[in-house]
Amino acid sequence: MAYKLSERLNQNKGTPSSEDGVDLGKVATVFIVFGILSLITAWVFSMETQRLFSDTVRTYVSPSVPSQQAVAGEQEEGKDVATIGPITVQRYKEVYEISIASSVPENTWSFVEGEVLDAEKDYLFSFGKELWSETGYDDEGAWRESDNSYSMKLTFPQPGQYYLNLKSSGSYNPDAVQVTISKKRGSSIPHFVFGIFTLLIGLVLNEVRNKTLTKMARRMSND
Amino acid sequence: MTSTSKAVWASAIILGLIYFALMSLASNGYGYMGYNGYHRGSSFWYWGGPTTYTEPSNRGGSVNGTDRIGGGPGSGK
Repeated sequence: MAYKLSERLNQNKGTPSSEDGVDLGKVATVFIVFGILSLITAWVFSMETQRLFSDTVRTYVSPSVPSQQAVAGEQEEGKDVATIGPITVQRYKEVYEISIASSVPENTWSFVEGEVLDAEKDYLFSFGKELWSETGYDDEGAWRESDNSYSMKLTFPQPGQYYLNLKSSGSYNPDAVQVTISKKRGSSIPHFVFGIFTLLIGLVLNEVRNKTLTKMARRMSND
Repeated sequence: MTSTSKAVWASAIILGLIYFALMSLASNGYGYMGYNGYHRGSSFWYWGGPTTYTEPSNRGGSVNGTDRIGGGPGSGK
């Protein structure tokens, strides 16, 4: 019995039978479950296991840097803030988070830098960010924006003792810096990235099979 | 075993293997400064953090002689 091409296409087009075709909805469920599981794992790895240091560190001017009266709007001479440590790392590749916070007066900025030093106080690397506060007026009235904290995660590759040397420079040098050093369970990056990708693939597969998001969007537009 | 079952099992096994393989990377602090030594910065996947500097600057010829002053913007040569 001969069929026309269009009839044959229609015959093959039917819903994928449970025996022949792959139900993408079920595969999507696997991807979504692993995506959610990975994101939860990433969150667990980012959890704090021990707080090593949390205090307000008072600043002092480094004796090697000549003291200079700052002129308004000009950059003040850099200050050493403090040396914190030793930070004792017990295992290979331990993850720590260093959080820095300081209040910065309006319309000033301060670059707060942390130097990570080894047991002999030799430089390993440094990190830093500008803390600032700005005010102004626009059509909607007065506005105020500020960024007065940051945090940095780092991995100490080897056990040993380390020091953190804090410095600041800018139009304002803070008198005190709030420093928190905490140990983390590990890195959240691998499972976070894997979780995002897996979840996206799962949602796309689910959309191809069930069109959940399309239906939801249609329902919302009808409402 | 149907095609769907095969696909579900295959994807679950592959995803499970990757998931457990990533445990080792996560435990070893993958992606953060220091994971690949101190001369390489953080991973591409770690965004939003502060700027990192792998080498200190030396200020030669200053009043106090050569002084290591870190790598921030105030670290002129």
